[in-house]
Formats: sequence, C-alpha cells, structure tokens
Amino acid sequence: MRNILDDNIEIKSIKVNEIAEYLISEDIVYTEEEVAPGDMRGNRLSTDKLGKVKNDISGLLDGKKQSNVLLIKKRTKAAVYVPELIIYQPDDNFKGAANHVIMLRKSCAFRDVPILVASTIPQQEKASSLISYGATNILIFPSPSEKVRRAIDMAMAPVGTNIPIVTKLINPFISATLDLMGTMAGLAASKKEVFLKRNYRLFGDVSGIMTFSGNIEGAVVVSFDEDLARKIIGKILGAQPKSLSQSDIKEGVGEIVNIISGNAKAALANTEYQHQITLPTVVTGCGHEINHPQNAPCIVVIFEASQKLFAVQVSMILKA
Amino acid sequence: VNKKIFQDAAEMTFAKMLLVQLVFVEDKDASSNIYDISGVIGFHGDIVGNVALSLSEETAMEAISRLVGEKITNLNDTKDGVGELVNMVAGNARLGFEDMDIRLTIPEIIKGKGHELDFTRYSEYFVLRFASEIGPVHLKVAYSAESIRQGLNS
Repeated sequence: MRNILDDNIEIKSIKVNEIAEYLISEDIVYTEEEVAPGDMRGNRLSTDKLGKVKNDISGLLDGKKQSNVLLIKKRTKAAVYVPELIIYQPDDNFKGAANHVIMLRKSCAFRDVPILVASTIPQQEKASSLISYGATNILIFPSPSEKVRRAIDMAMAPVGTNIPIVTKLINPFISATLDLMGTMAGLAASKKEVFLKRNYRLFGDVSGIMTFSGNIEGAVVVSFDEDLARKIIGKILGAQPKSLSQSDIKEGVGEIVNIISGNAKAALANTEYQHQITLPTVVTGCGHEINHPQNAPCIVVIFEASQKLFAVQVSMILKA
Repeated sequence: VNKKIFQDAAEMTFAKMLLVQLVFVEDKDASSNIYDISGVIGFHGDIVGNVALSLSEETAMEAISRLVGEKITNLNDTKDGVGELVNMVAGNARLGFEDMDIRLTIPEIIKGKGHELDFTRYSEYFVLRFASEIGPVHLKVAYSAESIRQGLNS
C-alpha cells in the first residue's frame, strides 16, 4: 500500500499499539479522566502516563495485530499538531471495526481529521457501513495510484466557497460562549483553535442547533461529549452532574445554544450581519455528525473547559 | 399551525418527487423516534420554528436513489438529497400559510446511527409519522407559542 502514494506525503504505517504513542507525541489531546490537568498543557505526558494511555487505546483496539492504522502527517499552522489524515484498515472479519472508528474519531476531539477506511472490493459494503460510525470515506485497494490520490485529495480539500474568517462575524459567537461559561456555569473556558472546516462534520454526543436567516443565513451548532455537557449543566442548575436526567441535558443544551445565538444576534444587530434566529433543536446519540449545505463555509471554534474540549461551529451564507 | 398543512406538504413532495405514496399513521410510541439521518430546516417571520425530516439509513438510500435516478449505496451520498427533500417539504408547507410572511433557513443535515432529535421548552411540537413502501418517514414540526416568540424576537 505504501508505494502507491506520492512521495511528497509522509506516510507512516503503524501497528495498533503504536497509535497511542503517535497520537500523544503529536499532542492530540486525550480526554481520559486520569490525565492530570497539567499534562494537558505540557508538551509531553510523563512516561508512566503515556504507558497507561497506550494500554487504554490498545485495549480499545483489542490489540489485534492485523489491524493497521496508517497516518499521513503534515504540520498545521495551529499550535497543536494533529495528523492530517488517518487511513484505517480493519482486519478481515471487521472485528471491532466500528468501535475502532468511533475511538479514532473521539481521539480527534472535534477536529475534522478525515478517516479513510481501506478495503478490498468484496468488502466494500461492509466498509461503507463504517461511514455511519465516523469514517469519512472508503479507499478501495488495489486501485490505480491516481484514483487513490484523488480520493485522498477530496477528503482533504476544504469545501464551500472560500471566504476568509471574518473576525467581526465570529467574535460575537466566541465572546458569547466564553461569557456564558464564565457567568452561568462558573467554568473558565478558553478558546483553543479556530479553523475553517473541511468536511462539515462535527462529532459529539449531544449538540444544540440554532438556525438563523436574514442578511446571513445558516446555523450555529454547539457540540459536547456527554460528560462535559453534564458537568456544565450541573453547574448551571446547581445540581450534581450524575443526578441530571436525559431531559435536563437536552433542555440545558437547548438553553446554551439559545443564549449563545441570542447574544450574538444582539451583538450583530444593526450591522451588515443582522439576522433572526429560530428555535433550538437538540440532537442526542453517541457520535453523531452535523452537516451543512455544500456551498456554506463553516467556521469551527474549539474551546476547552474543565480540561475537556467542546466545539461551536457557525456555518453561513452571506446574502447580497 | 395546522398539522394538515405539513401532512399534505410531505405527501405531495414524496408523491411528486419520488413517486412514493405516504400513509399517515397514528403512533404514539416514543421509542420509534430513533433515526440514522435527519434534515432540519428553520423558519421565522410570522411563525418561528423548525421542520425536521428523519429517515432510517435504508429509507434514505432508497428515497435518494429514486430522487436522482441512480442506485445509491452510501449514506454519505444522501446528505444533499435529504437536505433537498426537507427543503421541498418546508417550501410546500409554506404555500399552505397564505397571507403569512414566513422565511426559511438553509437545511442542516444530521447523520449518526440511532440519533434522536428533540425540541426544547421554547417550542410546542408534533410528530407526523408516515408509512410507505420504502419504510417509515417521520416529520417533526416545532413552533413557538406567541408569547415566547415575542421574547425571542425582541
């Protein structure tokens, strides 16, 4: 599989138990509870922590030697180095493949790193089913290098009309989020990364969506994993995170997206980005993804609160 | 907000675009509200709310295959089609509200094995469930009560 790719991409073939090391050494944030706060900000995890994380991940991946994960890495401009692309090859029986894909997607922590599933023609259908669990697309082997190259390019290319990040437009959403976390939840949240989204996929366990239209048309989506959602809503309601019911979580996430978009709407009123908001919708389901129409550029902001990451994305079309 | 308007809009869209007859079914079982792909479109103006069209993986692939006229075997390829379908349903429903100013937003598509879609306390909502030869089709409509809408738009 190695030599069919162009030489200018650095490709790494890694056995399962090396994934952890690779991810961690590339500063992918691993959101396991045991990882102490200091470690998240430091450059490297200590050796024993690394060993533990490594065990966890290879445990998740069942330690099967047949499973290979190939990563193509390129350094991004952001402060955090992430793999640019993950190519995942399930074993012949697809044993645990769905879980592997979910785990890989989780370790990307809201960054839209494409995960391509390598498969043979007879297994095409099985491989396609992994797309529902978080894979981006499938790569069929063997096939001509040009075709593989194109599939990879497609997965890597940003979609949507190329607009620069308009700070005037995105800043109200960022400050509304930071405000909300600070004043209502009493959690110090910080902005980690801002980027233009590649595939319009955002994976979370619970998301709030608010659509809007007016001079700009689109949606703002806030996604959390379940633990962080519980923690934040628990703080807002003054309740124990564990005692919250499912409907509390849904209500709470709806409220959060309502407040963020309401504040941003107020801040943008009387500007060229004036808009009206609709009603919040809440999506639950482990590892779902939110897509936007092809032509709408999408800005993703990743925040950190209580050592976990959550994402706010704004996708919109500017109306003339 | 009249259920019948949305029911007619969904039936008309599916009959015209996919040649599929939708049959309205009364079903109060909440556990059936689990889907693989949903399209959500918001509307505002004289009424504020959301319309969501939810399908299972098989139904979505079959529906979009019929819409575009070629066999689709990948759920990823149904996203634009599902967005287009919910857009048409909402657009047709809008025609039912004569003399009212209603504007639609662009559709969002949610994909994920077994996700659930909920609306919060801001909205009143109803679910229209249809049976068809390609599988069940669910349409959720949420809208705000007058007083809440005033608050949201102030």
